[in-house]
Amino acid sequence: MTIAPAPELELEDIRVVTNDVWTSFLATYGPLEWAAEPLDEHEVVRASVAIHGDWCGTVSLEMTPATAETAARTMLHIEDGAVVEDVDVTDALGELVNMIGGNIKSLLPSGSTLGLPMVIPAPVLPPTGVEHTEHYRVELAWAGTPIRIRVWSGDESKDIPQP
Amino acid sequence: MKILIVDDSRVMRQIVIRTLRQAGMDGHDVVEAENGRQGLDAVAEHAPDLILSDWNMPELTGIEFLHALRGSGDETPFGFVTSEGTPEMVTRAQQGGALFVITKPFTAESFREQLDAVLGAV
Repeated sequence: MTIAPAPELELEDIRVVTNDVWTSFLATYGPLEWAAEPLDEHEVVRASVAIHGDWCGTVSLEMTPATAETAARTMLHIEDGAVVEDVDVTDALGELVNMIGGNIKSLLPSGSTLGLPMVIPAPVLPPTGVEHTEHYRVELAWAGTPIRIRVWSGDESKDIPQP
Repeated sequence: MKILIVDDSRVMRQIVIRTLRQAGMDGHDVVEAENGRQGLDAVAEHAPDLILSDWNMPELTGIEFLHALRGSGDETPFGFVTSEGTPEMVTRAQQGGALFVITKPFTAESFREQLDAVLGAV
C-alpha cells in the first residue's frame, strides 16, 4: 500500500485550529498552551477522523481518560462531582476531533471529505494492519494536562485483512 | 418560534441550544434530532420555523436532508452548523437551498450575526 505524501501544513496551523476549538468550548476550564512534557503513551484516549481526497489520512486527538472526562464535563456544563457518562465522553471527544479535523481539511486542497469520528480508549497504538505514517505531531497542554494532535496518512476506520 | 436542531452529537446539540440562549435567542421551542432521517420525521411532526443542521451525520447527511426537504416542496428556513466551512461546501449549501453556514467552532456573536436576518424574516 502506498502511503500518501504529507499534506502541506504547518505545526502552527494545527495549533491555531485546535486553539480556536478550545477557546470556543473549553476555555472556562483553562488555556491551551505548548506542552512542556509529551503525553504518556500508555494512558491515552484517541479520537480520530479520516479525511479523504487528494490526500487521505487521519487527524487524531489524544489525551488521558481523566482529561477526556474533564472535556466532556466542561462542554456539557456538568457540575463537579456529578457523573459524566462514558457515552458523553465519547461524544465530546468525537465532536472535538470533528471540529479540529474539519478545520484542518479546510486548509487542504478543495474536494476532500470528512469521515465520521471514531473514539478509541487506550491502548494508543493504531490497530494492527493499519499502515500509517505520522506527518505532524503537536504536543499541547490544557490547564497543565497533556493533549496531542497528530496528522497521519492512513485510515483507522478501514479494516485491512491480515495476511 | 420552533427551532429544529439536527446533529449526531448530543454534546453539540446542547452547545447549540446554549449558544442560542447566549445570543439572546432564548424563549424559543427547541426540537432535537440525531441525523437527517430523524430530521425529516421531526419536520413532519413539529413543523419547525427554522432548521439548524450539521452536515456530516450517519443515516442521512445534512445536505441529503436539505435536498429531501426542498425536493418535497418544504421551504423551511435552513442553515448548516458544521465543522466543514470551505467555499465549496458553502456553495453546495446555498445551491441546495440553505440560507447560511455557521462554521464550528462558533461563538454567540457568529450565531447572532447569521440568525438575526433570518429570524427577522421568520
